[in-house]
Amino acid sequence: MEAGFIHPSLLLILGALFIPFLQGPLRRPYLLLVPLLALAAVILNAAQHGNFATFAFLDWQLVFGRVDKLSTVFALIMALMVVIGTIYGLHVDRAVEHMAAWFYAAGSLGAIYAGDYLTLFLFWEMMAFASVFLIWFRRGPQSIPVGYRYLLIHTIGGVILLAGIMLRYQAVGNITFDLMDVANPQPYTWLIMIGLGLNAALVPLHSWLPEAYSEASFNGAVFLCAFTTKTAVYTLARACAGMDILVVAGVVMALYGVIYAVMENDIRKLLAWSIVSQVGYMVAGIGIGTDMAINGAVAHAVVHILYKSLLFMGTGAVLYMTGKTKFTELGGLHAKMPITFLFTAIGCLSISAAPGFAAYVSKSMIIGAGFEAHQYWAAWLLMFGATGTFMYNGLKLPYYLFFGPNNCSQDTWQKAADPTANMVFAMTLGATLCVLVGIAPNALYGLLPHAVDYTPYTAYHLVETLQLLGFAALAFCLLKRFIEPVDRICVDIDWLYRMAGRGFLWLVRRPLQWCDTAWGEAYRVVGLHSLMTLSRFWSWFDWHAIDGVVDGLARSVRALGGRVRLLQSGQIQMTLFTAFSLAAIVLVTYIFFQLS
Amino acid sequence: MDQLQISGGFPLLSLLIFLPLAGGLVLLFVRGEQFARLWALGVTTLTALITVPLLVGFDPSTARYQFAELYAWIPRFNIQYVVGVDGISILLVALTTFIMPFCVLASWQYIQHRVTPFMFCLLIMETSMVGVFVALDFVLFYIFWEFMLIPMYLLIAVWGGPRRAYASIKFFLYTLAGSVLLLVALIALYLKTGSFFIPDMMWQEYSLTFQVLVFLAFFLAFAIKVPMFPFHTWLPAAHVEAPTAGSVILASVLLKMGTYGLVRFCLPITPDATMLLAVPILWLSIAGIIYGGFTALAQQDMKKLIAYSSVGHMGFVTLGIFVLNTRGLEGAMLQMINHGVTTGALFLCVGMIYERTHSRELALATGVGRYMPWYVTFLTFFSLSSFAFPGTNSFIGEFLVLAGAFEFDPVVALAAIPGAVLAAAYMLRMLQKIVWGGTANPDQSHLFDLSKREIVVLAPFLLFVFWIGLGPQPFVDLMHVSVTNLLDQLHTWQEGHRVALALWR
Amino acid sequence: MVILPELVLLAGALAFFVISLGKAPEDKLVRSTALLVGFATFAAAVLAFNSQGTLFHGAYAIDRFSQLFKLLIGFALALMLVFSRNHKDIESRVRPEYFLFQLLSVLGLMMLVSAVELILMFVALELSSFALYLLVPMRDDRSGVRMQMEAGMKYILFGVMATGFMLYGMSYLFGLTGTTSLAGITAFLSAGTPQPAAVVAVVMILGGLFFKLAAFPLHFWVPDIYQGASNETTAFISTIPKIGAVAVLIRFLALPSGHPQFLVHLLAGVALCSMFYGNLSALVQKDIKRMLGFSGIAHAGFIILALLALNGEGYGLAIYYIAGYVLMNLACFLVISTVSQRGENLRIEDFNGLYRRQPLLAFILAVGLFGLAGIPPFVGFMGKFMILTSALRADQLVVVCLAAINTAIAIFYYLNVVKAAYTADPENRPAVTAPASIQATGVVLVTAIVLLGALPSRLVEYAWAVVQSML
Repeated sequence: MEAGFIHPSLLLILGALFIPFLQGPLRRPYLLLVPLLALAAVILNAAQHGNFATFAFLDWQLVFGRVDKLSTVFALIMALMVVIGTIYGLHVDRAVEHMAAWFYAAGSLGAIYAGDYLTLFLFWEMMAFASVFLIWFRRGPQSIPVGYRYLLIHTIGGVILLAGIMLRYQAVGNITFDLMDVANPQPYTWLIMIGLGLNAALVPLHSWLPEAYSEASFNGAVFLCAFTTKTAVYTLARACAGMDILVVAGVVMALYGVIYAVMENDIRKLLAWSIVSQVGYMVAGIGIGTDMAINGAVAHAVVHILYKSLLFMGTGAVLYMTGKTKFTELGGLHAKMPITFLFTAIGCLSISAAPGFAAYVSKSMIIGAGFEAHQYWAAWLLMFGATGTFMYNGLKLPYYLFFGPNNCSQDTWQKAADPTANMVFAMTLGATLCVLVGIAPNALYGLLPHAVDYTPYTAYHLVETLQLLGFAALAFCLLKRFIEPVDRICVDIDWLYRMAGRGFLWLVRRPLQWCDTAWGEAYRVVGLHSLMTLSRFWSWFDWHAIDGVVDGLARSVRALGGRVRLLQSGQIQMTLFTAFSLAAIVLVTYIFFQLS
Repeated sequence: MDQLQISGGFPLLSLLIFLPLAGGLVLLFVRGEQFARLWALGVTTLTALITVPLLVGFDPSTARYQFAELYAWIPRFNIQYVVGVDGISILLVALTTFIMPFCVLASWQYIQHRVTPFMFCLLIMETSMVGVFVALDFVLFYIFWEFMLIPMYLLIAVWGGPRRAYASIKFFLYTLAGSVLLLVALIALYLKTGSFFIPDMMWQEYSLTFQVLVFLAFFLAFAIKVPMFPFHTWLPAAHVEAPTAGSVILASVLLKMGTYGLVRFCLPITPDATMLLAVPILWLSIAGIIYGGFTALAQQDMKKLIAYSSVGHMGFVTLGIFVLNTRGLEGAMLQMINHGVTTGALFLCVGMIYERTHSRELALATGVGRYMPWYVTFLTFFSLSSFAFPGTNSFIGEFLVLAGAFEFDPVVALAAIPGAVLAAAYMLRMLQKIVWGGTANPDQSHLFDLSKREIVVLAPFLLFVFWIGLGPQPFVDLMHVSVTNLLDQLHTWQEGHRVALALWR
Repeated sequence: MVILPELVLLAGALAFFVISLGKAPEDKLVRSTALLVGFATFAAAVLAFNSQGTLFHGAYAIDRFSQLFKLLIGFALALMLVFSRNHKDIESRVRPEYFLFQLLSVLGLMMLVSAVELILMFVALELSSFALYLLVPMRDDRSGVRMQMEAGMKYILFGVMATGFMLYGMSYLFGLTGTTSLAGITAFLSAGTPQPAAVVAVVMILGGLFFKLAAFPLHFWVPDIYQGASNETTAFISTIPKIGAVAVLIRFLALPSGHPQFLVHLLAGVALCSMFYGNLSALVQKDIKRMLGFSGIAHAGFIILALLALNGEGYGLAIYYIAGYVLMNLACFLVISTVSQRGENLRIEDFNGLYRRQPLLAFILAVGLFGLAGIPPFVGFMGKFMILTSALRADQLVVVCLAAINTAIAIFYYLNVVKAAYTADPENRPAVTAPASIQATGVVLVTAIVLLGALPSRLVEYAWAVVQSML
């Protein structure tokens, strides 16, 4: 390994291996130290540029450290995330959870630094298998099956990716991991795109995400929300930038996520859905593929990691303290958990692109890029999505969680309080970053892969945003009663809204709901169940058909023996007769043999 | 005989063959069970150590047979005692000798009565297995090949499970019936070439019909040993009934003899027939891969599950062999070793559960993860390796095989990929059940975690899982020259015949 | 002194005759005498091994060929007498007679292998056969079904008819050639034009010998006699006479009868029929001796397969094979006669759990059976292997394939016994006591089986050379 490049994953993996041996007072400092080292490593790596840690493997060139602006920015944010996430879960004393988290992060960092498909695939699978533990460790009634499904999907995704990689290797003859020729895509392009996209939760490959993230342990979710999807975004940006299909997919994701988030009752599911929608923006940006769009996508990925983790930390705090995650079991918590409320509010404002907060400086870049690339419809739809985002996330979440009707049960209310110091500290960290990025975006812009000539704080943009937010707020106030977690349609409102609302709800309830559950059930019931039935049939076939033939052969030979034995009657005259008539036959045949 | 590098010095290979035999004979005269254990352990370990100079002294830059020894044996039939190793056999020899000590260790507790005869069987088993891999005279090969049936039969029949009689007789009959025609084929070859020396039989001008007949005789014998679908049904029966050590030997070494035979005999002796019949065999392999996956997925008995998974993995090996290109063949060779390591280790794991719960039922072994953390750690790694998780040994093997298959025909490789998914499915299913189980786990609290001995048994396997997984180069280097040489000869042969055909037209 | 073995046997027979005159001969004397004579014969055979010469006006040849066979016979006899000396179900008052006739029959066989003249050959054959016929009914009638008498009757009737055939064939030869010495016959036949009648004669004589060898279609007596006779008697019948039969077969096949093609076809047919008949019916046998009888038929098929090469190599292999077969069979019968408590017949399940009742015997039995099944490295495999080779060299591809398949069929019933001995549970079957002498004999047999199988070349080469010298 050349001097200067230190692979953060290496640090994390080694570090993780040592966790179990550090007990008691030593552990916490250690838990802080290693991620910081990883972060430091990444910062050091940022200094240089090029391919490092290359190994010849069989007849391929493996690149473990490909450092350029694109990989650096992602690596930075990921490493930062490890720090925050670890601090947030610092008080968890089950070593294995930290190990899983670090392996997971290591996988993500490795994938980001990977310069060839083989290395990528290796770390890709590492992520999948490490992350599933974060779900299993919640030890809820659902955790095991959910985690198992999660793993199965990602394995399948991995296999699709592998198939793509191989086809590509056959066609291109190398395994370098860089932009594919998206102008005229081959089968392998699609396979790779799907394999990567599955991790980015492309609709309709998204079903694993809400299910899994809402099931994760309170600190596991903080990791999950950051790494898998954003790493996928990175790989897409690396391999499939400018692939038109991605624009469509992105827009669909954005809106699809919004619709479901609006309908959602479980706060973490809501956030999970909003990941789908936010990642949608990035995917769309990648799909547009212009410099500005890529910048926007990357920037949005960065800030999204910040505020989304912040939100998950906030809700995680609620879950950790109260054990509840449903609006219908919570509410009015601002009194009991003021600090949590504050940070969550910041997170909400950031996600809904309020001026001065994180997403403000990134989301608009994507939309702007959309307009510049003359993809008007996409841009408009995304803008509409932005409104929706504000509605469900900027307003609905804080409102129903911290104000609104107080549905807390007695003991929930008792338990509710601000969480432990380290969690608060982690949230503070996240919140500060959100605000900083929001106020002074240039630091972020400086990191982006392409040069940025974009200033978010123009009067027009400010006004436009405020208008959107205002409209969303209005809509929220008016629609509040329809999107209440316990939703019912009231008849005595203006027909326009009624029509709109009804149509909206019908759309959500009937076809989409149905599609989604169907899709969710598809691999669960049809997939596994039919698979098991099929396999049972084959094993039955194995024993009864194939083995039957084998043993049957043996038995028939034996039966033949039984027949032959009958020749051997005990009667002497009989046997004499047989023997000598046979002998005579031999002689006679010989006579003919002579005559002929 | 120029293919031989006669070893002037110490007869290393003969020592490898006969040391265990001698050890076994000593056992016949000494009483005492503990002595038998220790003695067997000592002898197998010594054999393993003797393999080290073999590996060190092996010259990977030549395809000739090294450490060769040559003595006249039955001059009348021109049968000689000739042994030697090349890149194709050396790894298998090493695998055999290295696995045996762990088989002894694994039987330390498992075998409680009639220990001495058990160890005796293990030792002569080792003799015959090493013999098969190093024999360069067809009769010698056949003698070891057949003789092996007896100790294996006894291992299953005396120390086996409840249905041992059925399973053992099935194993014996099936494999023997498979190899009688092999005998005829080798006699026929002898009458053509006038020698039983295997290299003399290679690359000879036989008529195509003759080749096809000989090939079929070979194929029947080896395919049953491998076992290839649909000749595999003896395997689950034998595996389920055999004691742990028996299963390990069966999975790790015996199955390799089939594939070794295919590489050593089918390709060079009957090249035309091989090329003629390669494609159907490829599809048979793929059928085996997928079929093995499905049947494994349905099993409730852990040993059966692993047995069927072996059918799938060996399908990958045969696939790699018959795509007839370097990558595929090297992958296949590597996969032989990998399967030996991984599946052997898995059987050891199952055996350890069996020693505790006295059942191989998956349902009864659910949720032991809480009480046996070390155990599940090992089990996890071996299962990952079993479905070719990146970074583990099988990944390299299967990847090479698939790459070779792509070179041969993308359709074939694509057809094999579902096998990989299934592998993940059934392995994860077993893992998930054993480690966590469901809500209604049986009470496993009485279970105790691995003892030091057991950890010592499993650790080396883990080492190789990752060694081959992360640094396969040394292993590939050992075989590379022999493999490429074999394939070059095959292709030049093919070329030559095209030319001949063209001229003849 | 060239006929020392014969003389020793004669002396032994006389000794027993004297003993039998006494009122109540005590067992000990009888046994020790038998043992003594046995080993003396073997020693004599060894001493006379290298002696040459002809007696009785060239009727009686002492050559390497005959001496080799005498050595084999002597060895087999000694071993057999060791484990069968305390006959469990021969009444002690008839034991001297029993040994008397046994020795006479062996004497007949020794003369047979030396006989190179038709009349002498016939006399020797009859001497051995009639003595043998008498041994069968000597089993004491404990079961009360008198099956040994029935067996004896069958044996005699069959034997007589077979002898008739043979005699008829011999008369043909005499009529054709005007001489009864094989040398003369050979000279005559090879001189003149091929004689169809010569083939008829040879075929008929072969018929007579197939009876001794128990080959198809003259094997029908085998199972009943094997079952009827006492274990030790069966051990004798199933081994030593076959050695003699092979010797004579070789001598006759060496005759230039013209039409070798026909003989080859005939022998191939006989061999295959014997194998299939023997193996298939052995599959379903319950009585161990019946099973071994059928397996013996199958092995006779293999010997004939060796002979059909009609050349020195084939004959040599036949000698090698019969030697191995005798050893393996003796091993099995050693176990049988030791396991059977009071000399009763054994069914296969009577071996259940032998492995726990007497491990060594189980081991010996396993070696013998695996050997018979033709699993390396035992002599059975080597014999089969080389025979198949020589048969394939005589391009009998089909025959060879069928023979190979037969080995696969055969393994099952041998394995059945091994299974009983090793896996089955000895439901309160008594433990078996094996005296040291018997254990020693067993070990000797096992070592012989293994060594002969692992290093066959000495014997094969020697046999081949011997046969060449005789041709």
